[in-house]
Amino acid sequence: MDSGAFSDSTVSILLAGGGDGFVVIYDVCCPPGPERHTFPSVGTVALNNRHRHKFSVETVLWYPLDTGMFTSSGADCMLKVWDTNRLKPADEYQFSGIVNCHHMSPIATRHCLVAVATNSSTVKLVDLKSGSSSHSLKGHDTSVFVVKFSPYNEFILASGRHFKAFMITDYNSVVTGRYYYGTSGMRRAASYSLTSTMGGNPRTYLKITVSALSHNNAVNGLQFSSDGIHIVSCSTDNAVRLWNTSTGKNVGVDYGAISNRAKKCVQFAVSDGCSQDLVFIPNDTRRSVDALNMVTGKREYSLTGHYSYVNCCLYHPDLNELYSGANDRNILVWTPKTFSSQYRNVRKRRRERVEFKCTEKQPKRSTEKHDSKITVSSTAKSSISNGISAGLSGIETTGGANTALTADSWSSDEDT
Amino acid sequence: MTSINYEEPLEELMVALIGEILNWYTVLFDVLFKPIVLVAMSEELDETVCKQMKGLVELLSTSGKPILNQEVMKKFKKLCRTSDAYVNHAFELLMQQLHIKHAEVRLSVCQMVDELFHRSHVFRELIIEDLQTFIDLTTGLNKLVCLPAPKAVAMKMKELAIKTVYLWHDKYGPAYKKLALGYEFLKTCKQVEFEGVAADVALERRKQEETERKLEVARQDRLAKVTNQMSDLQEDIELCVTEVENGLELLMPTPDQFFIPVAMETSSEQEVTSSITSSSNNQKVISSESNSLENSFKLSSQTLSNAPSNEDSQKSKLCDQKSDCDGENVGEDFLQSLCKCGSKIDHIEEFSVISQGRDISKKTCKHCQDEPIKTVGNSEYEKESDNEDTADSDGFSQQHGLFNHNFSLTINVGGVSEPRVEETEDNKDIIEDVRGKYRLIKNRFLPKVKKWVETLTENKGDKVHIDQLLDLRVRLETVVKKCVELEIKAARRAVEEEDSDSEFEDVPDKDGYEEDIPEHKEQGCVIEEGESTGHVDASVGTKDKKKSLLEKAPVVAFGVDIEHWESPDKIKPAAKVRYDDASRFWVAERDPDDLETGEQGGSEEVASLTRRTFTYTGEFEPVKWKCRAPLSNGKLCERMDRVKCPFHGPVIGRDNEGQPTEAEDIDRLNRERIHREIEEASTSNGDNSEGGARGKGKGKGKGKAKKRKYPNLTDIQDTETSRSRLEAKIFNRTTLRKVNNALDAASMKKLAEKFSNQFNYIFTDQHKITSVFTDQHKITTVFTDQHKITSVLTDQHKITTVFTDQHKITSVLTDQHKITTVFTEQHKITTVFTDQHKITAVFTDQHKITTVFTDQHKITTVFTDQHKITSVLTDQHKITTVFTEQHKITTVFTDQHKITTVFIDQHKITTVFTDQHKITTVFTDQHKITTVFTDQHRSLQSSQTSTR
Repeated sequence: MDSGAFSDSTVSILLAGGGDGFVVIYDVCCPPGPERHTFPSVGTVALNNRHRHKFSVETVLWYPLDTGMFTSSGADCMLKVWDTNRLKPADEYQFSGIVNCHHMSPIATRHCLVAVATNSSTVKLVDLKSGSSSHSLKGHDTSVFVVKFSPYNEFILASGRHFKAFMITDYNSVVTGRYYYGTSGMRRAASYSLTSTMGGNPRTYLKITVSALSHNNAVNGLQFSSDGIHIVSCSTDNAVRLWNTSTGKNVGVDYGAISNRAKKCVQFAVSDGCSQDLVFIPNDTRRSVDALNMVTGKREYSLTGHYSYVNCCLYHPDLNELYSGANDRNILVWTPKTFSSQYRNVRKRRRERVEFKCTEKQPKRSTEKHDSKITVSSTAKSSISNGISAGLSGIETTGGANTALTADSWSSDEDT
Repeated sequence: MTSINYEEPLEELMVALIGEILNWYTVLFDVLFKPIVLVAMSEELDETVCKQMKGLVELLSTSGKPILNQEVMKKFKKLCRTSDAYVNHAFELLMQQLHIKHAEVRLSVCQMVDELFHRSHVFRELIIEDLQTFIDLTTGLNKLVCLPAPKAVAMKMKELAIKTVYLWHDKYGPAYKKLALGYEFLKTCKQVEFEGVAADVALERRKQEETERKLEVARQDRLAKVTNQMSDLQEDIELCVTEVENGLELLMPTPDQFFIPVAMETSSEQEVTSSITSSSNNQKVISSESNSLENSFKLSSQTLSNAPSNEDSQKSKLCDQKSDCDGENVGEDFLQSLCKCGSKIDHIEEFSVISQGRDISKKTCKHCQDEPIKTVGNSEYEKESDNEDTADSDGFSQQHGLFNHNFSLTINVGGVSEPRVEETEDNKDIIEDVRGKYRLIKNRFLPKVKKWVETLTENKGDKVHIDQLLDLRVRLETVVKKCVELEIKAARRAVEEEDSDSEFEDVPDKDGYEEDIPEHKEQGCVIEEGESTGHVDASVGTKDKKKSLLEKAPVVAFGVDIEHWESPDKIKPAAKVRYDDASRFWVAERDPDDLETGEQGGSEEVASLTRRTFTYTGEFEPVKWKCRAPLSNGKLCERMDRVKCPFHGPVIGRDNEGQPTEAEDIDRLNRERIHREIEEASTSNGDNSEGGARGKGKGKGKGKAKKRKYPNLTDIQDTETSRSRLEAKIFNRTTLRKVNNALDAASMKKLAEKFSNQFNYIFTDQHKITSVFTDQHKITTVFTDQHKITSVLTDQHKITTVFTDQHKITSVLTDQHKITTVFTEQHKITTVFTDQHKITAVFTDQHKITTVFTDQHKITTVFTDQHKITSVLTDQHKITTVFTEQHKITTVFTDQHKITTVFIDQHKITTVFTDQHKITTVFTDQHKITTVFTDQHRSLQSSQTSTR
């Protein structure tokens, strides 16, 4: 899996994109239990689908409000909007360069924009309603690796670029009336975003540039905290930093060195609803997922189980599960140990990393598909890189049953 | 906390609350301070054990062998078993060792990990946690991590590691999720073909099962065979044993059988009278039967019959016994009672008694048979009467088996050395029978039973059978032991010895005279006679033999060796004739060797006399075969030796490939090869040290051969290629020196041919010389023309004229020289005369000098002409005349000098005489002096005409 995005309302459906151009949908809402080892796949966009991506799928994303639609983008420079039921693209957008990442605002009510980060220096905004990649946000020098919408303000977008900085763009007034009516406003918005830092309409209202506190190399991962106050960035300079989105200042938390050598978007996760939020970030040297305390920066534990580089992590806020996809063709699901049964065991265990136990694996079917793919197409990379997207739908499913699981041990001790 | 009952007293509530809080604190503590606790745990480990573990890991991993030493491994596992902390430590050690870049080390570590993996859950968890590293380091499937050298071992390790992972997964896959994941990863992403491994493993298992099944079948076969044999023979054996036992009992009753219960003993006395008749009746029957019955019975009757000759009290008991026991046991009972009376009588005594009794019985046997009732009756009666006499007075002593207080029994223990059964007419049959059975048991049954027990225990036979057999074996062995003790065997031997003795004939003593002389002796006699008397007189028979021999013998000319055929010591070399007196002048110088050996006769000379040369009469047959042993270059050995090739041993039949064809040759060569390999392996360490010794012996000081830390491992640094081997040989220091010497010698020889003894003309023209004349020479004229010289004449020389023309010299005459004329013309000199010299005339012409005379010199005339001098005479010199003409001098006389005449002409001097000098005549002419005499001087005749 390469990257993924997930929108906040889904509980049950996981979307995974593979390095072979496949997209697989899993139902992760099976009743949890010890015997549950492999998720069934609900639908796949596989070799037999002529609409599939030609090369690896970098990002997959559910439409925030509904699982009837999802978007995917990949190295074949395409952004595709899929009809989930028919597994056929409803719309396709071609870009000049490889699409590194795309994102939709999870809370957007007033616009329906997809921000697309490509190898070119501009961030394109695609309006699904008008069906056009209407305008672009300039400000980066080279290719943009990652874009992220804020989870609390639909008009704030963060983008990480190839070199040393990322910026947060607010184009609040884009939509204030004029967006819907013509392209002129959008152009203005683009120009505003470039030119001024005043309180005008769409603008680059924060630009975090080269400084002692910023990254020294390409920023390839961004993630908002669940409340949207902070944003975590990771970079190929092996640093992870925490920024305040309102001030644009580095909070100054030292996370230590997290090896990161991916020249593409790294999707990492920030936990939601824990007493102290954790950042789950892939560590390349150890091939593990490190859980960092977002506030203190301390590494709480690392989840080892993958045998190759981890591409993406995805946190499910309701199940409190973590999904990690790696080049070894596995998606592992990490569940917290529940308080009642295993907490005392945890106390006895000497190592903290046992707290997460790997319970599940990638569905067998998709593994087989990957194999067959590799034998057929020689152009595909030998390793699988895919994207997951946790789909949304069936909000509030079986909440009572799952809340028992949410007594996670990483949120430490005192929640009873 | 929710369960707390609020109706409970407050105290309890508080206690519960505090308990809860404490509990939470412990939880918190655990969560927060786990790392610290970890550290503390690791500190608990015993240091010595850790060290031991480390040593064992090192020992195992650096063994360089494909299979682990199981004993050491067992020890290591035992250490690990103490606690989980040690397992943890072991894991760390192993992972550390696994990172060493040597395939053999890794292979061993891989095997160790496998062993521990199967043993410890903790270890399994640790390894699986780090499975990625393990796989990377052992399989080399990660392209970024190469497997270390040597390659062959690395490949083996890869196979082993893959198989190991497969087996792990097979056994623990379901229990350890990550292991299953790793397995899947290898299978799907790395395309490791586990099917092949699985097939291999299955095949191996099947083979093992097959062999086990075969073994089982063989076992069953063997068991069945043994049981069959047992069922056949067991009865025979038992019968035989019983017979022997019975026979032995007859011959030698055991002391146990002498036992009589005390109650019976006491009652016997009372019953004596009443039993007389019954006993006599019994005896009657016995005696009547005795004629027809077997030996044993006879024996009993014998003992019975000789009873009267023994002690009286015993007889009463005997009667009593007779009524109770059957006739066969009577004799033994008697002996028992005998034994009882002398309570401490041991075997030996008994036997002596028995034999005694038997002797008597012999005599009385007939009588006994004729009138058995009477005899017994008599004896009984006598006994009774005796008993009645003594019964009252000696009641006590009777009870203790003593006859009366005056009774004394002398037991002669040493008298009869060993228990023996003496063979008599009567027991002959028993002994014969026992002997035969003994032989049978010893030679046939016992080995057989032993073998059965062995096979049964080996093949897990039926326990009942084994027990039976063990019993039987014990019985057999006891029987054999008894027989040996009784010397039945010895008796048999004695008989045999007698037989074998009879084979020898009695030979009469001849007192040195022999009528028949053996032929080989006869020859010697004849020759001796011939020598002594000069005339041979031999018998006719020997003559014929001699003739036939003579016909065969080769004809050899008579010589000294034949003359002294019988006594080769007497051969003396012929004395050399020396004409010492013949002439005063023409005497050859005597060899010192001759002086020493002439008289005694050297062994060589003796050898020359005794040795004979025979010409080979056969025809020369050229060798038609070649050695044809395979050489390293792929060819076959071309040597044509008749029997044995000096390089490849005996010449044997070989095929086109050079391989031996004969089976025995192949065998022999294989054996030799193995032997050689073993020797090489065992002396591999020795080679190293030898190498070092060799280096030392040559005194190169090249350094000892570095001793490797782990001699068992293959040296991966040592990349031995053909190039490196050649380089080592060609660029060997000794060979280089040899070659250089040879080349130098050649060129020197060439030069010597052209310029030898032409020293006067050396360096006649412009040369660029670095160092010449390093040692003592006697030189007349050197350097006549312009040269550029750096260092010349470093040691003592005797030079007359040097540097006649312009030279550019840096350092000349560094040591003591005796020079008459140096630097006759313009030179550019930097450093001259650094040490003591004896110089007469130096610097006769214009020179440009920077530093001259740095040390003590004895100089007569220096600087006769214009020179440009910077610093002269820096140290103590003894100078007579310096600076006779115009010089341009900057610093002169910096130290103590003894100067007579200085500066006789115009000089331009800046600083002169900075230190103590003893000057006689200074500055006789115009000088331009700036600073003179800065220090104490003793000037006698100074500054006569100096102008300032």
